[in-house]
Amino acid sequence: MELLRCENLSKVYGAGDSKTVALQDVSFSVEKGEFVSIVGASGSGKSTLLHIIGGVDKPTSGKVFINGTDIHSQSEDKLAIFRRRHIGLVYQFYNLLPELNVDENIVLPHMLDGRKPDKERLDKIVDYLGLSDRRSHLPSELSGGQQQRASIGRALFSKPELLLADEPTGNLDRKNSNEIVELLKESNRKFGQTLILITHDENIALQADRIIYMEDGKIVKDDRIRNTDLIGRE
Amino acid sequence: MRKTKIIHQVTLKHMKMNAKRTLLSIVGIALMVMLLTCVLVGKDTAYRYFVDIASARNGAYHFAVYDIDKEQLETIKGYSEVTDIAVTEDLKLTEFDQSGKAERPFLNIRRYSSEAFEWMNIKVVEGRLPENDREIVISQAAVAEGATVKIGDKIEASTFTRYIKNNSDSDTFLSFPLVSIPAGETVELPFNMFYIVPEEDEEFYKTHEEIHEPTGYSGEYTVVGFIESPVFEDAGCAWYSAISLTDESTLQSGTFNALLMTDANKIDNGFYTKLYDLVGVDYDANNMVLIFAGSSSQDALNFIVRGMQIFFVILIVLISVMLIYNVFALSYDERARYLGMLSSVGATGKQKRSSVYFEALTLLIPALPIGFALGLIVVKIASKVAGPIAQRLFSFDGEGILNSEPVLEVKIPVVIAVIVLSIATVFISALIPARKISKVGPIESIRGNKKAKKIKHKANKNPDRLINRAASGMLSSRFLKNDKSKSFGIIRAIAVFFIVTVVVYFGTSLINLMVDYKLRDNSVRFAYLSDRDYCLSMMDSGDMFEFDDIIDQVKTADGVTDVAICRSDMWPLLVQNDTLSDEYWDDYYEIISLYYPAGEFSREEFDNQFRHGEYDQTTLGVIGFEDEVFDKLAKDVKAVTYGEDDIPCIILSNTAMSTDEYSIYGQTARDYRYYEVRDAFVPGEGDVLPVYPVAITRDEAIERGYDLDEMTFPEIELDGPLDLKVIKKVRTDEISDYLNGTDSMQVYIIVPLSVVDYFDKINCQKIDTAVFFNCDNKESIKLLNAITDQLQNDGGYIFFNSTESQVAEYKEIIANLINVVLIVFTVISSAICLLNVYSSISALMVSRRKHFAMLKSMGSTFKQLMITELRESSGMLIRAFIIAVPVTAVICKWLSKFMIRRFGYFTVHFPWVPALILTVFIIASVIIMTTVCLKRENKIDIIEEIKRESV
Repeated sequence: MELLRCENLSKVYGAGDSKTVALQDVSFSVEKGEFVSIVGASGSGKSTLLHIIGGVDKPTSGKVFINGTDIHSQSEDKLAIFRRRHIGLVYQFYNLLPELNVDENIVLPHMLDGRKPDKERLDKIVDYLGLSDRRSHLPSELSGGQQQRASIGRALFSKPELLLADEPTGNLDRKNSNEIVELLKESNRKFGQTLILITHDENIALQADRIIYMEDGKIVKDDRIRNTDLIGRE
Repeated sequence: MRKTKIIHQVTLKHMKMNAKRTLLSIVGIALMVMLLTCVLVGKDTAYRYFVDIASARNGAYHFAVYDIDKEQLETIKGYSEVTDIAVTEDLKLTEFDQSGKAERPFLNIRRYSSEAFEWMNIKVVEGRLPENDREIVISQAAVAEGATVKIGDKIEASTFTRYIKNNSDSDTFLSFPLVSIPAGETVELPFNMFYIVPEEDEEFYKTHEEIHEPTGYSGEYTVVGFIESPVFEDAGCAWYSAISLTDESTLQSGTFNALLMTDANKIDNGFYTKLYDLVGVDYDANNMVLIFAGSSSQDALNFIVRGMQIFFVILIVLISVMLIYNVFALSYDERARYLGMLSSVGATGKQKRSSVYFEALTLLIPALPIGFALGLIVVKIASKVAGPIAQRLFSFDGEGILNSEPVLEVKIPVVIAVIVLSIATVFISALIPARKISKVGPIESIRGNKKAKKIKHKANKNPDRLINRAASGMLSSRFLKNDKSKSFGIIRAIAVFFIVTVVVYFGTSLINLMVDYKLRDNSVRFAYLSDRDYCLSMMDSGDMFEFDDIIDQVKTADGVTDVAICRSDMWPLLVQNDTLSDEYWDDYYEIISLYYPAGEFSREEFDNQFRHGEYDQTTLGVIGFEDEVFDKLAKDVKAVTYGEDDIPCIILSNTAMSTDEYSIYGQTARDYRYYEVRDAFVPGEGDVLPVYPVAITRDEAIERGYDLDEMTFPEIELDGPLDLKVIKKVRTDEISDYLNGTDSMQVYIIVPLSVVDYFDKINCQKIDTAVFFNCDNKESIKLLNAITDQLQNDGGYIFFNSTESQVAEYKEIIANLINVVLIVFTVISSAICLLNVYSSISALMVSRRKHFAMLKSMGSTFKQLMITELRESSGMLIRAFIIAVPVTAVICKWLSKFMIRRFGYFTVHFPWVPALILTVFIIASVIIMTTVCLKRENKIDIIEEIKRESV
């Protein structure tokens, strides 16, 4: 069952001599529950593609459908609401709010949606992320790995159907990287969340069901390396 | 050196990159310089203008001494206060054959030394001033009225004094100026006496003769120019002015006049005493010029203005320090980042400090000239507004109007003061940020986590709190709690805005009050019937003149309307001391004790000497209104009714007393005090007030062994007190339509004129009379002036002036000056504070860019961001008011205490209404600014912000 479909996505920055084409006529689709890695050299358009899929950036042309909804045809506020309900974003530099502690950062998108956070779920996620003894700590008091766990917790808490991770291990050592990837994979498997992950690390990429190779803003290769029953993995 | 240069270059680049903030800082500093310029240059400009106006009216000299001889002149030259002397002499009148007007057939020959031409505002309209004692200039009025004289003509002068001989059997009274010529007598005419043309009034000359008695002086003059009519030349007098040059060596008469310039700051009562000892009453002080030239004897005004200057300068510096400090403090993180990078390549703490000072200096360089120029423009505009007000108040009778606008008075010391104060302010503001930044190490600078402190993590006592909160509430409270440095910048800015504006408002109101009390205390007694423009006051001076005659002259003068009579006197009656309240005696004691060394005059001693001493009576002032006016007043204040046999009186319950009123045993008080007495009397409405006449009766005189032949006794002699019925007790402010002001130390009652007439009969001297009226005829006003001058010259006690001027002269000028300065100052200081609030909010929003990007990427809508920020602003506003209100209250309390300590008790109210209005304004401003800044930040590129490594 198709969760995401990108149709002829293009993104151009600047104009004239300074014109930069970040994406060129990119089209692909992702099935529900699929784990997709996007790899490519720096400047190949991976992050731009991820941001456009996540609704934080707009394409110059083309469309993004999530669950059949053309997300960029919506108003800014509706898109924001759609984003907090359906998409979870994990960044390389964590992007936690420094004034909020771990618990507060995790439940923030849920609360932005006007919903009361489920305490049991929060306890479960914090426990699952291994942050039980860091719950009232501010991000500045956490290590890089702990911060990234908190940011994954934030992405997972609202049970979004689509999890987008932009080089989540780019800032971490090997041990922490492995732990983070395991967490993401587990959420993909356990909660059936579709995961699109950008990485430079071949080992991490190879853990996905499918690898999309990008070069100069185009998809140059789309390899399905693992055939899995995507629905109802658990 | 090279390293420092590099740091300065980087600082410059940083300033360019943050162009908006740099511009904001320059604007803030320029506003500060502008305010300083306004306060310092404004005062000098205003004073210069007042001196100019006063000079145009009376001349620029400080003192004039009359009829002195050379020996006296030498004595005056020896006075250390005198800086310059001019001599003048009046050689009296000579025939002026070329006159074109029969009513002005003479020239008044005067001789001035060269300085006197300048000090008396002699202005040439054609030709030139005399260069020797054989040359002369003539009033252009002569030419304007048809005289055939021209430049180069010779004038033969043979001077004389004018007399009128009355050959008739009856006395002659001439009006405007008033001259009384008894039958058969010859009277010298006043200098400004008109001329009766024989052809036009042959009847007069049948019984009268004008006699010209030669002075013995004669000489020939060449006319070298024409001058504007000098201020002493009345249009209705018999002559035109003609002035020649003289100096001490060529003076013609044995006695002459001298004009003195002094070091006004040295002028005190001692100088007046010296002049009095030398020439008696034959001297005049040009008070208006002296006041504004800084005479210390006029210390009320100068103290007030100096006090205001200090108050404003301190406030400006404080506001500016807050603004500039805030700008530096808010950009701390960015500065720490780039200075940290420089630090990592070897920049020392000193070099990092120098970067902040360099930035301060760079901001100051454009701000200083811009602010100074703006300040001059504001002063120019303000003086244009205030100029006509000052003109109107100074020139109430249309004389001596200065036909020029205020000129900017920019003194070098003032320019230096502005520069020094500005530099000091900016560097004081930069001091703390510079010290802080120099102590931050390279790593923490680059990482920007200088504030990372060890936090004690407590177990969550209320886990449901998180669950039950809205996202905006959680975010706003966390921002407030965990981003203290930035939110405190805003809290500080709001608090300063509130404190400064309320304190400025309160301070200036206090100054206004003080001006009101102090100047009223110095110069104003009661002002009656304030809807009348003019007042002619007469005191009983024996047979000098008849009140009724003068009143008739006023009534019949052209253009005179609304004539009303009011009679008043300060001490025609006495009351027993026990009729006066404890409050009155308490304040009286406070005043008197200041004339003794501290602690050396006890209340007991005071009571024995003053309250229950040998003289157990206190004088009582009387104000009498025409009977129908009194009835209307009684009705207006809802007085109790009184019977036909009652003698009604309305008690003025409030009075005031100050140390200016006394000179006990030649001593002056240790300190100045002014006390408002709210209720000076014991008797209340419906009670009896027993009063006694001041005059003693025949029986009392015999009892005391006085020589009865030497005494005058009243027409009606009372053998006991006269009982008045108190029909109402009122405060002055309750009857402001009838009466304004207070009278220091004096207690008063108001009675109908018919009762005043009775008081005249139980005393030996008449109660003074004042005629109030309106008049729209300038000639009549001039004539009334002339009458009073004449009567005064002859020893009569009669004064004519504009009630507006009498009541408000100094006070109004200063109050208006204060109001102009207040408006300018409040507007600009509020602008600086508002700028401070804006820059703080703007800086906070800029620093939140990444927060907003992250929140938006998580699905926050603009409305949610707005609610979050407004909630945070509410928190900051509450915190700001929690700080500002008590601080403001303490400062206001301190200010009022200081003022009361310095000037004595007066009623002060905290400005609740302006404070509330300001609170609403601040809340609205913060909401608007937050919305505007957030809307601006909402346009940011989420991706760009997210890509930044840290918040």
